[in-house]
Amino acid sequence: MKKITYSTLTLALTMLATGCSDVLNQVPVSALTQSSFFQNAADAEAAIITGYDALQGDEVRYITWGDARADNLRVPVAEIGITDGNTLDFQNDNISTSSPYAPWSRFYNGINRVNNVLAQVPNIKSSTINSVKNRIMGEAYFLRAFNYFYLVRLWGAAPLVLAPTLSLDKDLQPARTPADKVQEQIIADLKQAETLLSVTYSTAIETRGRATQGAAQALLCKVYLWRSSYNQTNEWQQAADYAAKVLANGTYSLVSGANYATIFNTKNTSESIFELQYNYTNQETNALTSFFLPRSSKITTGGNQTVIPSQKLVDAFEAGDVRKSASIYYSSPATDQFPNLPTVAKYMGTVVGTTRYSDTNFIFLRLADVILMQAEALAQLGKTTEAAALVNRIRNRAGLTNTTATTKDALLLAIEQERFVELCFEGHRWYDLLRTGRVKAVLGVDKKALLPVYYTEIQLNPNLLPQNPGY
Amino acid sequence: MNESLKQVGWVFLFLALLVINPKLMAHGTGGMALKAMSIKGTVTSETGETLPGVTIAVKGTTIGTTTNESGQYNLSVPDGNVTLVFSSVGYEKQEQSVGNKTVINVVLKADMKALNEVVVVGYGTQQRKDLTGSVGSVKGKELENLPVRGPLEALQGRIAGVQITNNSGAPGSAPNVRIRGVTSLNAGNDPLYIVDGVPITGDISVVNPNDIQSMEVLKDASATAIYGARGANGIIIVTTKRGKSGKTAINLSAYTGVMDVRRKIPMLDAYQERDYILNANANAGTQEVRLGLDTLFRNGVAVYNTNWQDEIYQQGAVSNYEISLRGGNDKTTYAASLGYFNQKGVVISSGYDTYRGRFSIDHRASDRFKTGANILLSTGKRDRVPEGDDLNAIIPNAMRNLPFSPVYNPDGSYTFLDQIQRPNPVGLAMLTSWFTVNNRLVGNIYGDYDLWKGLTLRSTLNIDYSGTRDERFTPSTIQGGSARPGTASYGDVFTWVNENTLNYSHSIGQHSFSGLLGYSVQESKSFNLSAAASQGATDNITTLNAAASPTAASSSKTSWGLVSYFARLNYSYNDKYLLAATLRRDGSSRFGADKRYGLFPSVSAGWRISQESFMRNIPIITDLKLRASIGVVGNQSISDFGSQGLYSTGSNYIGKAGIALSAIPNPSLSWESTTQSDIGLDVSLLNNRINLTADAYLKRTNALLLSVNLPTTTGFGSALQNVGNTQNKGLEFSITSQNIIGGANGFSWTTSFNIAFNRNKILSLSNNNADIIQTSADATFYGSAPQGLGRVGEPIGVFFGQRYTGRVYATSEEAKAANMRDGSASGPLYVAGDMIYIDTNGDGIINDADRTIIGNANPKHIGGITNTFTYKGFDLSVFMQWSYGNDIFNETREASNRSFVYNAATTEVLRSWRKEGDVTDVPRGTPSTIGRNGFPSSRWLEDGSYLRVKTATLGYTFPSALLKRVKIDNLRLYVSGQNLFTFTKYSGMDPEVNFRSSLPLLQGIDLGTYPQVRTITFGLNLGF
Repeated sequence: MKKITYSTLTLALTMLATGCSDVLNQVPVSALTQSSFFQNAADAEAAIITGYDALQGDEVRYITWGDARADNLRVPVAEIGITDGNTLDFQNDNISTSSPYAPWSRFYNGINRVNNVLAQVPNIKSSTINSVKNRIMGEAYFLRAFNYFYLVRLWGAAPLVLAPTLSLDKDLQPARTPADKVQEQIIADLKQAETLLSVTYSTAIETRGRATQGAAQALLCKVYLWRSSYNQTNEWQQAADYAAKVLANGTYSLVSGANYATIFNTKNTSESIFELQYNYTNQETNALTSFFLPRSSKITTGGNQTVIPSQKLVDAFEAGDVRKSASIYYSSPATDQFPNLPTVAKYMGTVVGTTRYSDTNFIFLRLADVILMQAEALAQLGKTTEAAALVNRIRNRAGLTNTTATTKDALLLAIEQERFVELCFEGHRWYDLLRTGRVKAVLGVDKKALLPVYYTEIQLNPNLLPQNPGY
Repeated sequence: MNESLKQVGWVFLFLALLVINPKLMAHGTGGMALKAMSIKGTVTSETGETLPGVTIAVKGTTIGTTTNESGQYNLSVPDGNVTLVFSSVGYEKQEQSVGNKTVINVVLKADMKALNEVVVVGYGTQQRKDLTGSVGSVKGKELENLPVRGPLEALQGRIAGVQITNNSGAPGSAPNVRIRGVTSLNAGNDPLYIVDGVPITGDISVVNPNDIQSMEVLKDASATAIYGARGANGIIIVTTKRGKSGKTAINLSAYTGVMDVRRKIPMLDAYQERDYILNANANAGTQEVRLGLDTLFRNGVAVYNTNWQDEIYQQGAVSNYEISLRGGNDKTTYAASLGYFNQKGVVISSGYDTYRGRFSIDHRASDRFKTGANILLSTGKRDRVPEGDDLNAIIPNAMRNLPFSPVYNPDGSYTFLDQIQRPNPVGLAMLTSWFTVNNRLVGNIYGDYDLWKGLTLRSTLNIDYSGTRDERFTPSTIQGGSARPGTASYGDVFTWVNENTLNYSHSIGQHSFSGLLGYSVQESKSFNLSAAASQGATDNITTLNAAASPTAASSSKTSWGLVSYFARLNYSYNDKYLLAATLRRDGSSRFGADKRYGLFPSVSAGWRISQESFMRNIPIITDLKLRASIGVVGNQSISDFGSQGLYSTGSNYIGKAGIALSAIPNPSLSWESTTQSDIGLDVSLLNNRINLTADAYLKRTNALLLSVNLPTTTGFGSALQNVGNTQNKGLEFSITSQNIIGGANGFSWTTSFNIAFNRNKILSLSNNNADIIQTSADATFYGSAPQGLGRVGEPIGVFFGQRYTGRVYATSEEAKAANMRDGSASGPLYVAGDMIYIDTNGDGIINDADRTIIGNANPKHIGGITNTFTYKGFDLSVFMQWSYGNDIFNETREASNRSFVYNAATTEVLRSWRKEGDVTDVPRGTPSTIGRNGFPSSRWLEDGSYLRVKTATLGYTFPSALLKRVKIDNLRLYVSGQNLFTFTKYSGMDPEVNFRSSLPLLQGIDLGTYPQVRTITFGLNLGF
């Protein structure tokens, strides 16, 4: 009897002694914490991957910002109706501070992730990091610059956050940094990235889908071109030099004219420099296919046809241009609710059996863009012959004859036209018109240069005031 | 399934015969010579008054009489070997053996049973008269033999202030329980359940309602503070029956019955639908080409005219069989039961069955040491059909599909899709294979040791294991099945708790003390595994091994722990003045390192006014007690690692795994704390004939666990922090009354009634009290999802949206004059036949800026009333239950009637605008989807008030004298109806709906919800 009593008491007391501390210090098993992450190379690899992941999900906005605000896409109000009033408002420069095209949160999410890599990877003690450290730091610098370049082009001055948010005690309400200071940081980051990154990875998907030396150089070219034209910094030579480095890189070559469509309907061609990857087998898909795909006359299949190519763009293709059919097709009377409308052909997804997966890659940088950027820089520097030769490389590939332009001004217009048709629906047109000051001349109306800062951002951080002009 | 039911029935019958037979054999042919004798006497009360109407019965027979006006009686009995039973309501029953007496005078003692009734409270029991807190109690008797799955469904409407809503009528689904309103926006509002001393969360259907001794609901802080950080949402204590020493009692019970839907929604038939579509096309200037309507009618006669609702609903069935044993000797007692419950749903191919077993044993090992154990086991299997927000949901598809398509192909197989590619709901229901199986074990073992006079130590070890398996497979013969996708998942939760308490009680003269000291440790670990695959080889193998391409696989674990110290002190002086205080210190692993421990105190006092000398002369008042309490309780229901900044998986790219910081660490994150005060009055009148309890309470919840929005330059959208306040205040009344008191065989009538009023309000929120707008994340094909609003000064659970004037633009001129645009300054104009919304801000545009509060899902009051009648062996009990003043957002109707004509519509659209000049409340039909006649607006809000006859039971108990001859102790037959009648203005299938039950801001949404059913059962209880 006594025994039972004592064992009960002992049991109770044992629980008492052991329970307390162990029970309250639960350690997560299926996730890591600040103290258990960033320990070795594998952690660093897993961390840098999230910087690319952050770029995914914004493809429709990349295109709306870059194309739908300009003149190569339109909302088919008369033919179909308005799928999304926000797209129409955006096109009409009637952008409210609560427009879904106004938040910048996705870029800062990506910036915070790579800031964490930049802050913590140098502290990793494991020797496994040695062989990959430079490349991972380079990727982080590249991605930070990449995000800030979107921010500075769309909103101008933006808070320049260079450290990760790891506690609520940190200053959570930064003020905006002038655009030129942000650009200086972008250039500094990209130059770091250029020295740290390698030219290729072991797989083609990574060579095209991750940051490389070539991608850093191509982006530097783009940044210098932007500054030279938009801010008149006269850095044409730097732009031309970085383009030359990319052109000299054997990793990149133009796809033949016959295979032009493969740039978009196969993945990672030789022309691609930085291409955001999707693959339905990895459950990574985007919203682009349904954004453009015709509405079916049946209800459950088909897309939204939110925007369609403008007539101006359709007419801009010269006769015999192989790029036209690779860029635009017409909806079918047999299967589509609204037949015979021009439709974007660059994002058709992957068809397996009866299922269409929306997983076309989104190309940020490709060689044709760099060639035309170099042509523009050289034309600005007065080197018209070299510039014309570069334009002709693009024209000849498309099955067209040499350009007739010879003067600097004529060449600049020829380059603008060539970029219009070559890079349509890839998110470039608006920035080209904006930086060259040609918005009003080309679109017929003036539009506000910058987007509004999203209204809740200002509510949560009054230091962001003043709001951008016009809002 | 019917076959196996029959089998189970036969097994029971066989068992019953086995038990009966030996006794029948043993029964001799005895019988004694009759020698009638006459007995008389007077019955008086303790104070000497004579008592009229006292029942005198000869025990075990139907012979009896009652006393006359002057308390006298006269009765003829067979012989002196009988016992007389004297009974009267308000007095204790008394037995007198006759022997050779001919005059038997009796003094009946006033029955203080109601006051001496023992009520289970946290870590102990108390007599009701000594309670200083607000505790509602229901005896097991009231919960027995109801055709419901678990104890909570049975509890609905029976205790004031406990709101139980069946979110869905789907067989096997769990209800939603709220005690004294909603306190929290993020941290959960479910009460804590204590089943035979084991604290468990989630569902408690492991308990068979017929095994319940009593259920107690602890409502105010003085009752709940002993559970500290988990007390804010109230506590429900379930106590199951224990063994009794003496003869082994064997009870068999069985019921079986049928179930039906209350009503179906009237939909357009093929002719009306054609008319609606053609009119819409004519108005839009378009040709109908999608359906090819001309081919769907031959000589004006519809080729098919399918009523999809008739196809998916069937008559359901419910049955329950169980056997229980109770017995033991003076040292050891035991109770055991085994039950089988089966439900065939009213929607085709849905059902539920569960086996539940229980065993408890108590053993007195010595004078000082007592020990025992209790085990509850259950396995429940749900045969499910897709519901609610699911492309393949059965009920919404039955209400979206046009009547032009047949259910079956000529060869008898199911049609796949209708003319516009929507799935055949009958095929979906019949061919989708979807099962959820839950296995649960709740057990404990205890030891009680008397250390010293009045000082006892109790130590318990409890475990709770719950494992849930879910399997779903879509064959290629239905929509979405071309790749034959399948999923399988498994999750389990294991919790152990060790509790140790010291109890002491002592009395010195007029002073009585009792005290409790306790220590408890609890740890819970859970595991989840899920997998998905597609490209199955065949429709005949539903498991994933047949699938060629695995598409997802994941497993994860999580855990939490709680360490607690607690104490309680009760003091009473002269049975008149009562004082109680509790204190608990809880440490939770979920909270930040800086805020790990919290202190939860309460104090309460009671004054039994009726014990005062000045009250003694008011005989009508038997007991009168005033009580008051105040205390602080907590809510720790947040994610296990919410305070630690977690690096989480899932941010993948190019097929490589990414790990990112998913939340900012917040080491100061802590529990929500609720301060509750309560004032109550307990009154017993006329010797306990009438008992009344009234309570008024005020609950204020501080430091809400809210998601605080951050500037996104941080890289995060929000962080969980302790900010904000909510308030609940309310009144509760319960009355039980013995209206007519009959004798043992006379007519008697008792009524119990309860009503509760709760008013709920948000006092402050994060981000300078910014509104929280929550949108129900419903699939877009249902139209625009309803929105809930959290706003300071408003209740939790108001609907946010456009306000509809109840009229459409009758003419183009009227629409033109209004010049209203949709969405933005460049949006399309509203035209004739479009709904006229109120342009709240007057900017000529109808958009989000015009949204206002359009309804409130909180009822003004809820309650229940039970009337029980008995006459001779008959008993009739009618239980009605209601909810008054709550709104329902009828999203099912929105999905049908948002003016897109290729959705099947309800007959409401027969009133739709058809031509210039029509004045109506239902907008035009359109052949393409346009959003503006389908905004989440007041058009879809309906009064959700209802009063329903929840349960009505008529039973007959056979006289025991008759049964004795066949050695049966008791036999009762009954017929019972559940949800027999429902009185409501709500136009949906049933007003008891709550589609997004887990989101406090989105209560009261009806979206393709499986309706409550009307059930009629026949049953028997048999005891030996």
